[in-house]
Amino acid sequence: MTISLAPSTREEAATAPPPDLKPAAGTGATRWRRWAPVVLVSPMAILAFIFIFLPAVLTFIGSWFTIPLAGGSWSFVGLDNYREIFSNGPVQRSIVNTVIYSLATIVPSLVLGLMMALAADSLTRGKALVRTLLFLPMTANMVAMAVVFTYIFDFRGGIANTLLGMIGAAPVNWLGSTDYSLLTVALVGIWRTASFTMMIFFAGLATVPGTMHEAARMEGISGWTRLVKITLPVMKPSVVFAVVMAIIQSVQAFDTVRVMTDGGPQYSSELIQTMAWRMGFQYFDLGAASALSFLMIAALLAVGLWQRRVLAGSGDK
Amino acid sequence: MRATIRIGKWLFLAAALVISFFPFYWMARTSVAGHDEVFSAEFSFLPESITFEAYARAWTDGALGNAMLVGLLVTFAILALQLLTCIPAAYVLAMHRRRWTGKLFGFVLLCLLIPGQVTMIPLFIGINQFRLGDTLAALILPFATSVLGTFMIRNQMMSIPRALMEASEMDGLGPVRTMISVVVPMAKPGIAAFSVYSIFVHWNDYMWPLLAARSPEIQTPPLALAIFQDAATGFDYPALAAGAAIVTVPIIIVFLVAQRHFVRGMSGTEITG
Amino acid sequence: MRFISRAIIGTTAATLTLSLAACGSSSSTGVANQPADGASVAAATDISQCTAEGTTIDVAFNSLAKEPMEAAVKVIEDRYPGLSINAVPSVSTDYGELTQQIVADIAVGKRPDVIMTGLGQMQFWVDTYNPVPLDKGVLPETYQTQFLGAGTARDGVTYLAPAQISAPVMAVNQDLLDAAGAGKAEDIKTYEDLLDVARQVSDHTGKPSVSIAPSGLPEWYTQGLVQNSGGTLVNEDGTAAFGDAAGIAALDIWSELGRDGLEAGIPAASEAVDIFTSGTLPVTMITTSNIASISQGVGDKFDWMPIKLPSIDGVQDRALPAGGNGYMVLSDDSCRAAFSGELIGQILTPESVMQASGTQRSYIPVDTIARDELLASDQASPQMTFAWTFDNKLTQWGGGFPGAHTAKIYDAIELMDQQLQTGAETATAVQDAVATIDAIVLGENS
Repeated sequence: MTISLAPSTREEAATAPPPDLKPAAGTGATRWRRWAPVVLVSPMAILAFIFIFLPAVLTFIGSWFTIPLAGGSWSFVGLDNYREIFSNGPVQRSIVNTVIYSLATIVPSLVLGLMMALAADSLTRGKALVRTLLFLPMTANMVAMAVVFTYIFDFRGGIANTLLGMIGAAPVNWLGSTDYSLLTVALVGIWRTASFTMMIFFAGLATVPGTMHEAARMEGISGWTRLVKITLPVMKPSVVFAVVMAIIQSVQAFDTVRVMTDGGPQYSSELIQTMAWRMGFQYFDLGAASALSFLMIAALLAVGLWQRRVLAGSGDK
Repeated sequence: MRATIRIGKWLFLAAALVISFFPFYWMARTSVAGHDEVFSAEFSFLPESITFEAYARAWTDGALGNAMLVGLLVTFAILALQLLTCIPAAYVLAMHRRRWTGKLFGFVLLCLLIPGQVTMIPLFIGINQFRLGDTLAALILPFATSVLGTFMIRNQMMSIPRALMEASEMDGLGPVRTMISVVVPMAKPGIAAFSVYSIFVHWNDYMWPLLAARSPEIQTPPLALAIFQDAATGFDYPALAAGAAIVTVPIIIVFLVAQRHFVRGMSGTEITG
Repeated sequence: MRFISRAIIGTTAATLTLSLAACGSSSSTGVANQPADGASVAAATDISQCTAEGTTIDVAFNSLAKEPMEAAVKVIEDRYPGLSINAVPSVSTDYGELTQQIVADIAVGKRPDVIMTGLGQMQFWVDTYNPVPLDKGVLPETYQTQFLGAGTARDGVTYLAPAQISAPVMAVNQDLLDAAGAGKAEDIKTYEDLLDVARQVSDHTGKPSVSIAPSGLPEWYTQGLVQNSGGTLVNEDGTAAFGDAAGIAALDIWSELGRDGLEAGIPAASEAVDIFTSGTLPVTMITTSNIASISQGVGDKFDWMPIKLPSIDGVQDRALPAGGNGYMVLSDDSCRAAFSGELIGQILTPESVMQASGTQRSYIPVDTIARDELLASDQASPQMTFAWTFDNKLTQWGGGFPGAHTAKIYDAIELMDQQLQTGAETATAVQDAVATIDAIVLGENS
């Protein structure tokens, strides 16, 4: 579907030349050539500024005010919103949970994704079918799928506990106990994200030239050493990309938690995202919700700045 | 030793396949089983009886036909706008390296880290200020560009030798034509990969449409499914599962069609072939 | 560098524009909310002095009332030629999401004239948006006015006309009781009875046997238990009243079930209903509106019966909180308020109530003609009859906690319920919740 927008041959492009272009050199063309980059980049830059950056700035500004939804003007309250969220037990819990959730999903998603990709890649037959099946979780509509998972992890009749029963283990209250609820939503997060990283790694493996494997075998390098010393470094861009996507997926965990546990019980699975939503759209406390949201942006920016060189470096050789 | 690894690999792959696929199987099973079987006391792999009645109910009660048309329109409008804005930007960021493009790329990375939910409130207020609430535009405009798309496509374009681009600009092809006829064809995998990702995300988005779309005429598929989650009298699980199955099919078709390009583009790499 | 500085200038300018625009609109809707301006609290005027031509009534409601609303709109539009009623149902049936949508609409200047709301949110609307008091004259003669208590706020004024209502009860699987020789469902009248039955069934099955789910309807279940045993949820001043001996004694059953391993640990009320329907759960707390879907799901798989909530002393006719929804008028114009009242009257006629309570849903019919017709229908099984004839006095959901903080207060109660379910010490859990709520109400934490 991208093909229609991006003619794949010169002929197609030539039949419909952009009207603003003169092939011959001249002052107009030179001026155009100088300004073209700016013109080409500005739609993206302007839209990203309006729809992503500006709302984030507004979030920051809003965090200094109380914002009455029913009407009336904003009133400046200084750091009150921040003070409120930091002294609020459930919010503190949600911050801790978010860190745990991120660690519990990002790393396993990457490791499992890589393992699945390696296993699928080593198949001689049925590669495409296996790949498609492993990628299915990414296609799921999470609002509907979360309902299925609620059933799977149901305390009494769920399949998860039926399986545990088969190996003689006691049933676990996956969604209803404070010890397991965060783990359970994290498992669903891994289910989805690992399928995505699998696909990225799978594609990355295809970029490792076969000759390299040959050479490695000649020198007697195999297994773990080959993976760490040769395969991963060669597909470094894929690794970076997978890390970025795993972080984004983890940060955007929202539907699953809302549908499966709504942050409970006792805030044991509440994340910053769901807490901010709760404050904004249930308590209608937009100031505090903005403060919490901005806190999250700030934390992500800190991680981003720290990772910046890695990110920018991808493919930047 | 080698045999153990081999067996371990097979077991792992089998487990991964089962775990990936099982929830989908269960969704399909729920959609053809009776309502009373959903929370049946005993686990049974196959339903006792099969009925497709829930599909009819999902299609008519959920008005899925209209919802899927709206979903299609919204998803592809978003994709078209994103490709129109991201490809040129990615081209410049990858091919025209100046100091300001470096800064701009920094801006892109910065935006990449801002999660969608936190910008929803100001975005909602803003959209309504411009009287766009409850319109198709409200569903499409906020996603008219994608920093992730710019990032992905730019990374793909980094794999194209710049000499190629310079040569073609020397040949008298302007930047736009160089982009369209030289760079874009070579970046196709990255573009395809991003396209599929974008389609997945916007086809399944729930929170923003819930805020932005009120009228039934512009309800997207996930919103249409909400009708089966009756908070007062209980969920209609079979219809919900049937509806979810119906709206998942187009996505899987998109994936199958785009798969070959997608897999290549996913590597986000500079090494081709 | 220049890009950065330009970006900063641009941001500032754009932000300023946006926030000015936001303030502008807020203050314009703010006008409608000032009682001093008189508009929104002006009672509906005599409808004969109003011109229907060119008047538009906006209605915000959800798909639970789709059919009766469509019929009522048609009747009123025919009665007043020229009047147009804009009534589009929200797809989501979650009352919280309905409230979010209406609040968002008002925030951007689209204040509806008639809203449907979950009864638990009534005080929120009353305290935040100055609704028009209900004109009781629009109600049909056969309307069961004793249910208006559910639409009366803490200031004693009736703002809301209850439409689809329900009450907290319990559902009992008689087959599971019989298998354990635990007696009859209708004999469970006191907490002791409940504990006895629970113990006998659990001894027989080796599994927990009662569910009172803490999520979904936390404050409502809590209020039901408290009031049913003679306690009070809210003080006159809006602080929590259930921290007294009566409240703790009323809630102790929850914790005791948890401590004795009799509580099934199901998190959400809807899930408990589903599991009860599957036939594995002996006793669960439900709402009367669940009875229809349970009946459908159970069929003749097993014998079950809804019962009134057991209480600490066996008294079972105390006032309970009303669940469900109703309609209120938010118009900022007296003529539109008058037309809105007419519409509400129409949606409460026997025919509409038949549609709304109907056989698919087991709401308590708010109209006597509709009730009698339902009872005479072939759908009147013992279980449905129980729902349709439920006659305890009903009071305001939420008991009058200050509306501006209801969501926060309900969350505090949910936290307490979750603790009670796991068998936490009742007095401690209750006192913690009371302290949190009082801090919210008295403004120390908001």
